[in-house]
Amino acid sequence: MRRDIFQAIADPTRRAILSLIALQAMTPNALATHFDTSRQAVSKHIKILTECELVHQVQKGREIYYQLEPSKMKEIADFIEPFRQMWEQKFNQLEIVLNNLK
Amino acid sequence: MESATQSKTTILKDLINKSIHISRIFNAPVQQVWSAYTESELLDQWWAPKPWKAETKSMNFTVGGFWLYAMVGPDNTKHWGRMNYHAIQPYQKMEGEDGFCDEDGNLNHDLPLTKWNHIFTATEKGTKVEFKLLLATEKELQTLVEMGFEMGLTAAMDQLDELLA
Repeated sequence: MRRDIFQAIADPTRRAILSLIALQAMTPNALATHFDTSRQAVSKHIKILTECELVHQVQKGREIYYQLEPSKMKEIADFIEPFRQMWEQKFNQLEIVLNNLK
Repeated sequence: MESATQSKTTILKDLINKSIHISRIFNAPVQQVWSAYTESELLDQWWAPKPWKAETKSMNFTVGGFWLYAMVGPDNTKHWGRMNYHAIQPYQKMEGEDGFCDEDGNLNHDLPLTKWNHIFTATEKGTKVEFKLLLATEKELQTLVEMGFEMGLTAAMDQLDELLA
C-alpha cells in the first residue's frame, strides 16, 4: 500500500523513530526499548514508515535492522523549498523598502 | 562564505519539532526594520511575494491587537489574512499568530493558525532578523506550502542540496 509521506511524519512516535534511526540503524527490539508503548505498536509504526519508503530493512546476520532512507526525506525537504523561496522574495522586497527609507 | 549567487535568506527546518527558522541580516538600523514590520504603509510594500500585493484594511499594532490585510493576486483574487500580536518588545521581539479570515477579520478555523516569533538583533553587519514559525500539525505545513505554490513559486532544483546539507 502506498501511503502519503506526510502521513508518516504526522505521528510523534514515528517522528521519534525517524530521529533515532537517523543516528544509526536499529533492530526492532532496540527501537522498542525507547518507547513506553507495546512492541506491537512500535512495529505498526515501523510498518507504516516502511510502506512510505522512509525506512528500509537490512539483514545483518540473524538480525533485521531498520535504516533511514535519505532520498525520501528529501521529498519532505522539497516541500519546504517553495516556502523558502517565498521568504527570500519577501525579504528581498523588505530590503528595497529599507533602502528607500534611507 | 557568501557569493553573489548564494541566497541571503537562511532557512532551517526542524520537522521533529515542527518549526521552521528563517533568518537574514539587513543593512539597516533596527529602528527602520522595526518600522517596516509595524507600519502598515511599509508592510504593504513587502509582505506579499510578487506578483501578489498586500493591502491593509486595519492595523492595530498593540498586544492583543491585529493587522487585517488582503493578499491581492494579479487577477484580483483576495486572500484575507489576520496577524494577531501577542507580545511586543519594541525593537527586539514580537510574537503572535497568523491566520486566514474573511474581510471583517473573522478567523477561518478550518484553516490552521500559525504561531510565529520575530527577533531583531543589531549586529556589526546590520540588523539580524530571526523568524520562527511553529506548526501545530503537518497540515499547516502543507497549507503554507500550497499557498506558496499558488503564489507562483516553483522549486529550484539547484537549491535543494543546500536545504539538505
